[in-house]
Amino acid sequence: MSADRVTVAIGEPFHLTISAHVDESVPELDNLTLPDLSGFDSLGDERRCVATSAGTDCVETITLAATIGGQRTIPGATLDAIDGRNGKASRFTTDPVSILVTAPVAAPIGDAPSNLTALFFSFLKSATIFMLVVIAVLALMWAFFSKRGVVVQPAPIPAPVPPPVDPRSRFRELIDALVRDPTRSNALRLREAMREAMHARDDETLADLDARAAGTPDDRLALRAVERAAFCEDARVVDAVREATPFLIR
Amino acid sequence: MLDALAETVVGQRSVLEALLYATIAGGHVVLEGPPGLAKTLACRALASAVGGTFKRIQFTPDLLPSDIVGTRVFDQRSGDFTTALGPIFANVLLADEINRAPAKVQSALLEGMQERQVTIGPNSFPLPDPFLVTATMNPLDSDGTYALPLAQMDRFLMKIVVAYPTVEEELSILERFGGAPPPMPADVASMADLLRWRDEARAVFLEPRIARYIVALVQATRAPHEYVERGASPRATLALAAIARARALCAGRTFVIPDDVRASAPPVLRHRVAFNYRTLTENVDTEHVIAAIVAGVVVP
Repeated sequence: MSADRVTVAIGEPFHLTISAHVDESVPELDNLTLPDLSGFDSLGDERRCVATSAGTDCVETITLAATIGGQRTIPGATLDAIDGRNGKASRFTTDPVSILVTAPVAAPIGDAPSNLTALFFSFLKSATIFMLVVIAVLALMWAFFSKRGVVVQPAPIPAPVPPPVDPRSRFRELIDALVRDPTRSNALRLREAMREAMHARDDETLADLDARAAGTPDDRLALRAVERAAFCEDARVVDAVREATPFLIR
Repeated sequence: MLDALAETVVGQRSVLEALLYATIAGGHVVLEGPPGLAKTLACRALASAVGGTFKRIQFTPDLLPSDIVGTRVFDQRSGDFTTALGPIFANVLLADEINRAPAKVQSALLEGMQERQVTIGPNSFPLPDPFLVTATMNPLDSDGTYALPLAQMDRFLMKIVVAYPTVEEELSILERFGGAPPPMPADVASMADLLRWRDEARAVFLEPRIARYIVALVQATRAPHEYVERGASPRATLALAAIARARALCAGRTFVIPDDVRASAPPVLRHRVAFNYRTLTENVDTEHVIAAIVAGVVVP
């Protein structure tokens, strides 16, 4: 039996290892008795047995934390088994382990002021570096502009604002174009402009515009007439435009 | 025609329109709604209005395919087999509660719907023209029903959700049909008229922008969606164009406008889109999903 530390503080974990070898091949050692661990808290226990050509090696590792200070001795673990040498039942005992348990480790209370001082100096150092960088950048900019001179952007000349388009005149143009050139494309252009003026959404049809009474009834009649011209047979487009004209002129 | 049908059926304008559009487009209709909403009456009125024959089959779990298409009967006097044609041989056939019959019976009907003919023994028999199947499904009593697979639902041109009448409509029902049986419209149009309308509908012009709108709507059902498992097939594209054309014709136009397509989209798409389990677990109204998909496509 061995420990991985000879000196530990109260509450500090350490490992106690118990090793045993038997000549037979066994899956585990049922009759291994652990030592008295009073004064220690058990934080974990791991046991494993490995078969070898000479029998079985078993290792049990216990993680402990001392609860009482001072020089502590952990007595040996025992194993009850038949001694192969004489065929008698015997008790095998491991060596004890001695551990010095010291007082628990506390935070260095007296260091707080020195920590604050270090923090202050660290901040002062960062601020100084930042100020130096800012000064360097300003100096570079001053040198650049003093050589070239500050370029003053001329105020943009406002583009001539076109006179507001009168929707009526726009419709007049489209209607004139349709009457002058009665084609499907002109009918579609006028239809699009009329739908836009009636705030028709992309998914709205004529029936939707009728349902929500978009525009005036005359507007909707005109749109209906133009729609006929836009979707009728090629041979009937001219006639459809002629039929639509009275609605449009009105 | 619609006005004549409305004389018999109070309200249910969308059902009457759907029946007429489907008849003109040469397709079939599924009507889904609780019992007592004049689904049978609407079908009977349509057949009566065009002077056609009307048959009704109540689908039950013990129905056999021969109960629909007909069978061969041994004639002892002649010592030969004769063919007894089934109720499928009608201009307007009402398949009442189609989901109550097992799949083999549904298949017998759906095969007739698709091929426009049935085979009994060694002989094939063409079905009457026009031939309209209206199948009803009751969404409330789903116990003991056989849900139609999506592939079979796809064969119906439209699915109409039949809603309850408004207060005014129900008062009108009470006033008009409280006692005597409802009058049937007669001689509103002929079978020849129906066939002519069908030809005219096929000739209705579809501007390329409208055609692209139709395709975009169907494609939109196939885009990844949180509630959609699988979108509609190209058969839906053809169906949407056919119904939009029929609608344009009924409106007196020889061309389709965006309204025709937009209005036809929900009844054409709602039974062709497969929704995922989330619609059930989250209690999502699939009608809202379809409406959102349709609203997401830009109108030309």
